[in-house]
Amino acid sequence: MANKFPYIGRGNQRLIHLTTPAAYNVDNGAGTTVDYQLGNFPFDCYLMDVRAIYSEATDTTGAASANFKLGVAAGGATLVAATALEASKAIGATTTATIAVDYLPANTTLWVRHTGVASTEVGQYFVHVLLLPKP
Amino acid sequence: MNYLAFRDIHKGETALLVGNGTNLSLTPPFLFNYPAFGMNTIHKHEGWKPKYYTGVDNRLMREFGKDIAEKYKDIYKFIPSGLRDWKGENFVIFNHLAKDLQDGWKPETLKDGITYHNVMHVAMQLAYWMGFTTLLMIGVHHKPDDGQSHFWGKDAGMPNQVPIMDWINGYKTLVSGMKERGVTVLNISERTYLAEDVIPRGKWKDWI
Repeated sequence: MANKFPYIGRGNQRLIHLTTPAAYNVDNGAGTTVDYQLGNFPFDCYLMDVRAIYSEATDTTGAASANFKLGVAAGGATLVAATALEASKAIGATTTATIAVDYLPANTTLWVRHTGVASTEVGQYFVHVLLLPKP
Repeated sequence: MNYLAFRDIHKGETALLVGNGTNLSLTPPFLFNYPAFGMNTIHKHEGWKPKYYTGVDNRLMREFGKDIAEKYKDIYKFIPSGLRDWKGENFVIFNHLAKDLQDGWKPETLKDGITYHNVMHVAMQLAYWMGFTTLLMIGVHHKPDDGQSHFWGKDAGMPNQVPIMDWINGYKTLVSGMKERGVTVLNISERTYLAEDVIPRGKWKDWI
């Protein structure tokens, strides 16, 4: 089969973009968790960037009691520790997470966990991840 | 009236920005004779009305929106586009920009919308947009771990722990940015917990 895309990706073209399949609702319940698996690749990767992207604005207080984390098992936090969401975020604003471990061996499954708050706190977000296949 | 139409309509004037802190009773807003911005639950202050109003939280709209719209139906109320379902008269909608004040204040983007961490940040930038050159703040309390306390009592729907560092950094950014552009900001609240190096203080008696 002929190569449909006969070029070699360079720079940012090499990055793999992963996004949670649905928006997380900040106030889905105090301590209530929602897990999504983001992907599994048969080659080694580097974790380049992890961030929340708000699809519904948050109020000026309250959202920080909810958080997200990234690991290699459901509920894991080895890659990104629990990262608090932020108040006063507009639609399209982001919260960038600190990456603790950036190397992913082949066949590693990535998991995102959201932990919510109980009160009627407005706000929704996706988690977006950038991976670089090991050259 | 469109948000853009308010540009410089108070050029060179002094504005009063009225917060909801428990210390508001020490400097009641009726003592001052300046165009005033009220915010959040200031509608609970009896016997006085601001010239303008702003509120930015969805929870505020849900829990107090009807009362505010009714009591302040004759004044302009500035709200972000996310609250456009707030029913009533004289609402003026602005865009909530997906930026961060910690990356610096860019007043040239005010024509596109407002970036903020709390409602006082919004009032400050609205006043700047309208051309005020002196901003006096009262009812700014910011007692640590006491976010629920207001001049009218406890607001149980709010957390006591507010993102105070975001608020403080936002104040610093706005105060210095406005100072560079010839606008003076003074916190003339009594018994405020906000340090003078965040917002310079003034004596309220000098302004009545």
